[in-house]
Amino acid sequence: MFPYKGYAGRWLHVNLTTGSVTSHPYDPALAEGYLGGNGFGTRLLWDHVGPEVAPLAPESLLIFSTGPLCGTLVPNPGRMEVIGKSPLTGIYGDSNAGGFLGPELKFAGWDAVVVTGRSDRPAYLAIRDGRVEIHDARELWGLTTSETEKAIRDLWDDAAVKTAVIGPAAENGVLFSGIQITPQRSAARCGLGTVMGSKRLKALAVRGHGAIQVADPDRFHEISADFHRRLRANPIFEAVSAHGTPGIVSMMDALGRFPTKNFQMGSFPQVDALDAEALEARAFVRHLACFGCPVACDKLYTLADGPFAGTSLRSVEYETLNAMGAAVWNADLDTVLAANRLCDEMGMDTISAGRAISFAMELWEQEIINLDDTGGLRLDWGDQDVILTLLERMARREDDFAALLSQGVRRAAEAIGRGAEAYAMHVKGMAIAAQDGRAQKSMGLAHVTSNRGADHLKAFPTIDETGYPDEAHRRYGEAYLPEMAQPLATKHKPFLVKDGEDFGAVVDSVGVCKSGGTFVLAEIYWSDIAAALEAATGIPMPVERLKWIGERIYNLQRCYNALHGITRKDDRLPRRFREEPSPSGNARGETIDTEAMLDEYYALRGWSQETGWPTREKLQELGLDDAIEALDL
Amino acid sequence: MRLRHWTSEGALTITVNVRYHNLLRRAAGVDAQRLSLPGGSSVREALEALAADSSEALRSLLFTTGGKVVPYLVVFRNQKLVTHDRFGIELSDGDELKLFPAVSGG
Repeated sequence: MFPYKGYAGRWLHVNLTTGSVTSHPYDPALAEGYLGGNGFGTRLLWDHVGPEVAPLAPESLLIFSTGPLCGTLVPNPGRMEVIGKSPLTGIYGDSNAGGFLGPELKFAGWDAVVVTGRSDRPAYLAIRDGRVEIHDARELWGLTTSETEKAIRDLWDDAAVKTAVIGPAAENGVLFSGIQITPQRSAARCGLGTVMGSKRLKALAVRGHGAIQVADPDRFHEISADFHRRLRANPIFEAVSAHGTPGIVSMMDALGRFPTKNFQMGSFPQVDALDAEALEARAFVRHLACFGCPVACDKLYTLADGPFAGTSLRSVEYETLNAMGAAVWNADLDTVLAANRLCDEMGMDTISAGRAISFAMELWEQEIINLDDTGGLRLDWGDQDVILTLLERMARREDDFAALLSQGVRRAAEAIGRGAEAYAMHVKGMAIAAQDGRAQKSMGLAHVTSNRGADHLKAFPTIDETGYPDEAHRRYGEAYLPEMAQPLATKHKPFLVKDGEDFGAVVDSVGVCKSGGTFVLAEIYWSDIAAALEAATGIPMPVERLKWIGERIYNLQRCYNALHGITRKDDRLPRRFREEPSPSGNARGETIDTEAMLDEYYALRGWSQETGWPTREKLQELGLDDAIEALDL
Repeated sequence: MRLRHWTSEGALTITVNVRYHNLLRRAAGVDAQRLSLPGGSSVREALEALAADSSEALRSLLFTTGGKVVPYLVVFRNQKLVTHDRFGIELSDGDELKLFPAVSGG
């Protein structure tokens, strides 16, 4: 019997080739050594999806994984992980979403669902507590994500069913397809929706009526109440809650960190048309929250008039305001919302989709591509019709050009040639999100060291976005100031990135949100999570043990990538950041060279300076002897 | 042509444009305002002038009850971030100050 609380104690294996559904007890060693969520998925991926397995092969795994704090009383406990080998990058891939599915899965009595194989026809997985069935989904195939969600609710006659669904983009093989998680939250990055589509799995549907037990209820309640009080008392709680991530648009623009015209600039002259106040005035309906979250950073928006009247959506985030706005030189907020909605319905990552368009627009500007290449489409900056047309065409892979863009900027650039590679803004195949390493040096380093390719959320260095000097002092001490809180400083940033990555791995493994107390409010930190974990699970969790686990998870992901050929040469930003001084805002005149920071980062990590791989000694320290053998160290 | 106003003591008056964002805009009730200050005024003095002539809601977002600038106030002067240890820098006529509450995310 599984000895720990907080967990459901079992996970599901679904083989879509054979149709078998089996229940597995959660291995206590996995809980003790990898926690759950991201850690659980990382370990399974390492064990079962080697370099010989193609991302979209039936043998590839798709892992939906919750953590021991998911669904409990701590604030922001609604997150779940989706893990697999990314078809976009060919390396480790994960995606994380909030909402309500993670808790529901635990209430149903499952910590994770691991999908292998490929169904011979479209299918969906129905989980009603302990009853799990694979159902025919031919009637659902081809539907948009919201149509699919509604169809399942109608089939079940249950408005409370929680789902993970793919849209037409994943069915069509768009490599940056995501998975929409109730309620229209997005597990968007890395193309894991494409993996789901390759298995002909249209949806997971879950209803759970059980409870989550904790080891020390009194202590856990005390800790949870303390977390809630601290979050609400946090100096920036109100600002974050007021607008959510759109609230950072104008400040990032002032920092020179709001990518404009495919990163040619870091500030957008018409940023006032896209900022939080503009969005609120134009379309705000009400605040929304994920499961158990006091921040309620999500909002419902509806366009009451105009060419897209009636468009209603949630989760309009900073990233999409950039990807469909400034990055493509578009100042029309209605178009941004329409584009956001289209991506949600088709099931596409707004960041990667937007970056594909801004990449194409710059190629057009540079006359690297012409009307013959684009199928007659003029890709002028800011053309709203073109933005929406290209999104639709990419989702359906309707023509050769759209189909090419749907494979991501790296593959598209390689296929086009003619110097296109210079304008493909990615690291390891993952398009860079709405940050600019020239404006925030820690973020530039974070982009190159992230295990899923360019990503801000692995390390998520919020401390120095605009400077949380008090929090920098509290977490790191006087010795790290003032540079730790300065966005243009490189000093101490390798440590900030490493610490963020290890802590982030733990946060993603236990099931709480980075946009809540842990990173954005910078309120909850190592000792807090350790205390909550111990009270919830009964697993002894000294802080040093928790740090060891976070480092272990991150190193295993790096080893996975090393097995797939990643070395130091891949930890590199595009030429634009290194050679073109930013013309914008606080970053005016800045470039970024990550090499010196990388040297220090590798030293802190205990990795080889030459290869960027973990050393034998480091892997022994982390109890990863099988990685030593696999990498022949 | 910039107007310069000479007082009887020969000091200059400068005009600074202040833009508010996020909660500060809500508290101020306006997107932006112009601020007239004595020549040689610093960033801190500009904030004090704003606080002196504003609602309690805005004042509390600028200064603590102890008279210190709120630690989470973020200030840009002409597109350059001004850290709190540099709030003594002298402003010039026509400067733009952007004020934000510190937020992060992505």
